[in-house]
Amino acid sequence: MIGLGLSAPWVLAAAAALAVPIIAHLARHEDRAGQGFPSLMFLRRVPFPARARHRLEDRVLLALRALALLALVLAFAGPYLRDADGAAVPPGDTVVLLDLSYSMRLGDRFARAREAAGAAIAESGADARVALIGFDSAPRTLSALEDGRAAAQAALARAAPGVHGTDLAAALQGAWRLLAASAAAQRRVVLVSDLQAAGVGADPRLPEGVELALRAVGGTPPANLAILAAWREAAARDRDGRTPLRVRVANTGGEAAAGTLQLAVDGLQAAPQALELAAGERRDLTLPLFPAADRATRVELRLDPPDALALDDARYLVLAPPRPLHVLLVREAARADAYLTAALALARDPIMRSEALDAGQLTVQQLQRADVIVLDGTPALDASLRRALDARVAAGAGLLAFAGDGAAASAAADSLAALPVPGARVDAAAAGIRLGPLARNHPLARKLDSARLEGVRVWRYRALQAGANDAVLARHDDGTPALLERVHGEGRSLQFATSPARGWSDLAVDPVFVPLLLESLIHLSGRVAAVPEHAPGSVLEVAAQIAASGRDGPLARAVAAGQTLWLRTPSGAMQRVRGDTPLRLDEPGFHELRADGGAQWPLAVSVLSAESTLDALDAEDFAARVRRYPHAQAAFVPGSAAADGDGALARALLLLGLGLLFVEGAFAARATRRRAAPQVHA
Amino acid sequence: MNAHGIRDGVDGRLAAPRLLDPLVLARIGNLDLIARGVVDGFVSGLHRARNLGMSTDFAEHRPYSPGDDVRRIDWRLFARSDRLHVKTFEAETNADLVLALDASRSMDYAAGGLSKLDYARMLLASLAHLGSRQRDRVGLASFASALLEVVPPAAGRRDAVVAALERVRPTAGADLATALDRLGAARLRRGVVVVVSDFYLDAEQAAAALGGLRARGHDVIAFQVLDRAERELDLDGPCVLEDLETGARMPVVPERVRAAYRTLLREHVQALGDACIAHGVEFVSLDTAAPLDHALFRFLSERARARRLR
Repeated sequence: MIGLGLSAPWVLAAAAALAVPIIAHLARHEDRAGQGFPSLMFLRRVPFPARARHRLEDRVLLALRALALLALVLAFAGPYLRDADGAAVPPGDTVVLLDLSYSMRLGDRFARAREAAGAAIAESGADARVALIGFDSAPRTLSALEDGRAAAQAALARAAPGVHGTDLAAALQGAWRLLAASAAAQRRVVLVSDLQAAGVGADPRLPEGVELALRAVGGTPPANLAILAAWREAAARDRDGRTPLRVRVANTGGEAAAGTLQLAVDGLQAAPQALELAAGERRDLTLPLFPAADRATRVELRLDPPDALALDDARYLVLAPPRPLHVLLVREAARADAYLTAALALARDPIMRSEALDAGQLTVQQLQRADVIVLDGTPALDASLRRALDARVAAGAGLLAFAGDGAAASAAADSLAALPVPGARVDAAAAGIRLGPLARNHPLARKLDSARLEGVRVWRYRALQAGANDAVLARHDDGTPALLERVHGEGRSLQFATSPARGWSDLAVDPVFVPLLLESLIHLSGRVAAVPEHAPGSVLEVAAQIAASGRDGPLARAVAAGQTLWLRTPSGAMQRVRGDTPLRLDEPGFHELRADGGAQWPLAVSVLSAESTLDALDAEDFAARVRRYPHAQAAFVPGSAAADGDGALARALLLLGLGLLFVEGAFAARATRRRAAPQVHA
Repeated sequence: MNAHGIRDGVDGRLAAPRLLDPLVLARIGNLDLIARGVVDGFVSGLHRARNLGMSTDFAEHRPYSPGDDVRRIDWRLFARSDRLHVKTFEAETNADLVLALDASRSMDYAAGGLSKLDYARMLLASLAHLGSRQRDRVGLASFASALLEVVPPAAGRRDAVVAALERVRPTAGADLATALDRLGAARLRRGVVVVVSDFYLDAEQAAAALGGLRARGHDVIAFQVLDRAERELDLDGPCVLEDLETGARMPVVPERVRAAYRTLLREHVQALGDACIAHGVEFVSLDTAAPLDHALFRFLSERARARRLR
């Protein structure tokens, strides 16, 4: 037997709109223009009410309107045909949500969770359908409603907790995704979890009418020492300029715990540090660190002895070798460049090594060594230098130019291909003009975050004309371009219309100057910062990781040479890596990107510190946090069975509704003409 | 009646067009022409020949011809022109004819092509023409809640009366009693007063107002003008009726109230007629679909009756 289901039955409430044409019809009937009559004197004396009861006129028209509206409402309610299999509506559908996050590995939590889930499957009734969803940071259907209870029990037997975090809101959404297409009289979600407080997720919610049963398996956690975070703290450099490692350890369990913290750098063990932490105590430790200068350093932190949650007893970091940015500052002769060199000296990550020289001293070899070249004050360059500079930018270097009083290009042949040509000097009014904001979508604007250009006052600038390959990143408040970007080959350039020099603008003394300069240089260099550690489940672009290892590093060279790239997991498995396929990192420990020739780059994966936080929510507390909302706004949950229907019935109803509206329109026009025709009473 | 305004004969033959049919008259448009057509067609053969009589109202000079009364020769004119002329005088009028027209908005009702006001206008223009031909001094008073325009009765005022009739526009308010009372208070010579209205007021009040004029020595003829649809409540289906006088609206299902309405209206007309008789007023209820000769016949009958009484 074929039955009709609705993926958005709440839309049927719109059928109440059927009353609208009827009310409008009656209202029109009531409010139509009065027909003049000499006197109502005698009509008022008629002994019974002369008033007409609301009566429907033009019934065909009204019926057409109502049918059209009904068809449209049904179409938008997402109708679909389903095989009711003669048994009609199932008495009840249950979705069991089983927490498979890392925290479920603690003690006997998962054993109890499996038991509770098994009981929920068993007690769902002989005629009821049951599904099993395992979830951590995302839900996965282990057994669908149609698979039956035996399949659910089998899937439960295979389930095991992983290393990912918890997202209870996503789990509830996954449950509704299955139930949205269900027509069962009773729909139920059984959530089996330790209800980790850190894993509530964003906006947990379920539709009204769906029963939520909670099976909390948390209980009081035993002692659990965990390394919550590790990072290099630049502010805590020692006298030798070395940056130490800061480590945050905590006892997230309910009992005191003791152990030792072991640091290993590239496999070399440092002296262990003894720890004794009370329940809930956190402590930050500083460890000396001597990373390698010419390669990536693997840092492994480990707590001994391992406890119930072994994976948060270890933390893995990859420290990229310091790769200073070589900045070549080419200035117009006799110009002071103190503000630029001072700002470059403030750079930390990466460190910037600057070399300042007059335009007359510049050589092609110096250009070849530079990651970014800064032209301060429009210096005049001879033709060979201009060609070398264009070639260097085309090869991937960056070029940053501030306008100034230097020689302007006298002809097109004198100009740089890599840089927009600054035009004639413009002296603004005494009060100056101001810079406008940076283009919002530009990476530079995102990196500068709260630092804004808008406060900078400009008294003098050179007119810029944006070419076909140029993007205007900022304008003066009079609308003229203030900052242009040009992509030239592999590299790119930025041309400021003004200069930070005195008399041109107050850019140098504005708070935005240092971050703007440094981020501009990093942006121009194309340098990608290496991330010390990733969370399980991270998906990374291969190209970005190769760039992070260094554009001219061994891995990049190997890839450029056409060597095959592999990913080696901590457990030793090897996966071939293709440039266009993203990497997924699941296993905690050190992964390794390897080329056939031996070049390699490590990637560290550590469990989320949130999973080590074992504070649990009370079941009632969590139930109260679950927001209920009218029935199936959730019918539009992406991927729900109903929403996935081919929609043929909905389309047919839509066409029917539109057709009825067309016919109704024709009828209405005819009726209007009929009414409008003059009535002659002979 | 067919589309050309020609009424089909009883025996199926085509009859001559009747100018007295209101719908036919309405197509003419010119009120004066209508009045002449109606009266000339209707009174021919009934009226005595025109004669100039002795009265103090000078009419014109005409050249003297043998047999003329030498007492009428104007010697002053002879002294100036050296030619003999005799004075002619308007024949002595029989009475003043005062035409009173209700111009309230209820009279502006027209279910068909001719409103009650237009019908009344034609009726009064015809009476004015008829009265003028009978040497009556014709005057006009239009009223709503008060007197709107008064053309005092005088000989040779027919054109002024017709022009005044054409100027009448539906006006808000309706107070027949007050208007007739003021009309009666005007220093009118005793004569005939024709009141045309739909008389949407209490029958006794209306008759009392008309009786007031009668008490002042006037012969009063009251024409009640009603539309056929108004009389029969002949409306198409449920509708909202708006009182033309007050603007009040009332949803009505005609088929439910038609019988009671007709009874009430018929009783009202009957009561109005009875009350008028009691006050010595001639009362005629007219239908705008009815030919104008009905009204004229009633008018002439009344005039004859009045002459007999004198």
